[in-house]
Amino acid sequence: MLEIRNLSKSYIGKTALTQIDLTLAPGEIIGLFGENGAGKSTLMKCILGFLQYQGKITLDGEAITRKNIARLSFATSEHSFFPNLTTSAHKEFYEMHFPYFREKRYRGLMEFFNLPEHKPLKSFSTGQKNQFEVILALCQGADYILMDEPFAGNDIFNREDFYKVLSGILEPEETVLLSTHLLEEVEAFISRAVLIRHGQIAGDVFMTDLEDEGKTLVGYVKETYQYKADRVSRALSDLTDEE
Amino acid sequence: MSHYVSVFLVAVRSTIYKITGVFLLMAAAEGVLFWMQLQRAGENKVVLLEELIQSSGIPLVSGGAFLLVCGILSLVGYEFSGSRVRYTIQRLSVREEAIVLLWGVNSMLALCMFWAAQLAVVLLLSKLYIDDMEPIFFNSQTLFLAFHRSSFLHSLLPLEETSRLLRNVALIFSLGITAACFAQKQRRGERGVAVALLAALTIVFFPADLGHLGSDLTIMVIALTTAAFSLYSIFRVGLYKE
Repeated sequence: MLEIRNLSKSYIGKTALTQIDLTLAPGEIIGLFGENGAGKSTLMKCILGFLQYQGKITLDGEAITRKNIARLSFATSEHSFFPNLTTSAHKEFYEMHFPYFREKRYRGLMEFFNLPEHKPLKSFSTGQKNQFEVILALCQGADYILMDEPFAGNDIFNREDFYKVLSGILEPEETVLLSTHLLEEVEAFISRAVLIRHGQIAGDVFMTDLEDEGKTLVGYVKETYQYKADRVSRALSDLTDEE
Repeated sequence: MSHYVSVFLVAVRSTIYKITGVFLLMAAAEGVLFWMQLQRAGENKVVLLEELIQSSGIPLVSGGAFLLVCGILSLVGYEFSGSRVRYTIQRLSVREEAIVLLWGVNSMLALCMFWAAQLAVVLLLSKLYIDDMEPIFFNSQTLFLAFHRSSFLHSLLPLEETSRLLRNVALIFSLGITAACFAQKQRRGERGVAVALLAALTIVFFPADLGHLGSDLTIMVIALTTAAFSLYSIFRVGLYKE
């Protein structure tokens, strides 16, 4: 169980997160949604200990340190790999550092994405880099897989295929926290949606509850954000009047 | 232990091919330049080995190759656009300080290899000189004297001058540490200029005549002081700027 209690994070002159309380249970696939700058990436970086914060984050009751950090993996569109190394060199590196590295899954995903093994990652396209970043996160052998907009730059077919593969390979105890703007694409894949706005949790709902209520994820997000449907038509009307 | 080895191998894998390429290019350029000078030397004119080395621009080529090697070593762990290796480094069981030190050791070894490679090239060129020149122009002392007379050759192989040898070792140690520190500072949003300053110092003051104890000691002190500051900065708790 990954528990976040009273988490706050401020940068100089700006509050990024305010008193976040969130619990991620084993086996959940959680979509983390919010506008740009809402605090999604900051939340993930606090969980991983990349940033200093106020509050408490525990993994099965223990603080996250070098002793248990291997239970968390991270895929980011910023890319965390070594660009000069090949994919096979990364595999060896991960196998040495992460004892539960999933060799079989790695082979399968490398084949699925058709990624070359002996070319340095810096020569990959952005899409391929994203794919490899996600492969490493999924194969590390972590219990909690954090993904921060992992497919920014990938085409829609690639993304859809990947979500299908992902739902097939995840084991029951693996938890995914996925931050993305692509709500419709992940709607069928996630089990829970967490909405973050201005650094605070604005909504937290299980997809089964949404289904029971006959709502879509996009509808729920719009409702939570009090999205004004006539916003565009009013703006257009104002603009036309000006002319 | 394997964790440390794998971290060390990241630096080796990131640099070995590039550095080997620089060595080969350097050797080829020096070989061609030396050969051209050797051909130009008149048959009846005595051209000393050290003069030939100097006039063929080998110290310049060596200096250029040295700067390239320093650049390559400094970029291990550097975050280029679209790369945040800090996110991997911070999730390892090996502390970042240890990683930086290991990458510093890789840099030191690479610089030792550079030293050895340059020395090997010069010795091969000396052999070429001896093979090509008329026997009247050289004797059993030619090589020994050349390495005493030429400031570049003497600093490359400082025979009977311990202070120069220690100076070179101090420079390798300091350049290794500061090169590793360069990328760490960049990851923390700071600027590391120590490696550039030390590399410039090395280029300017590396060739020195026999018997410059004061200069050797001064450079050694500067190099070791810079290394001490860099070591301090490695272990200083610094926040990553986001």
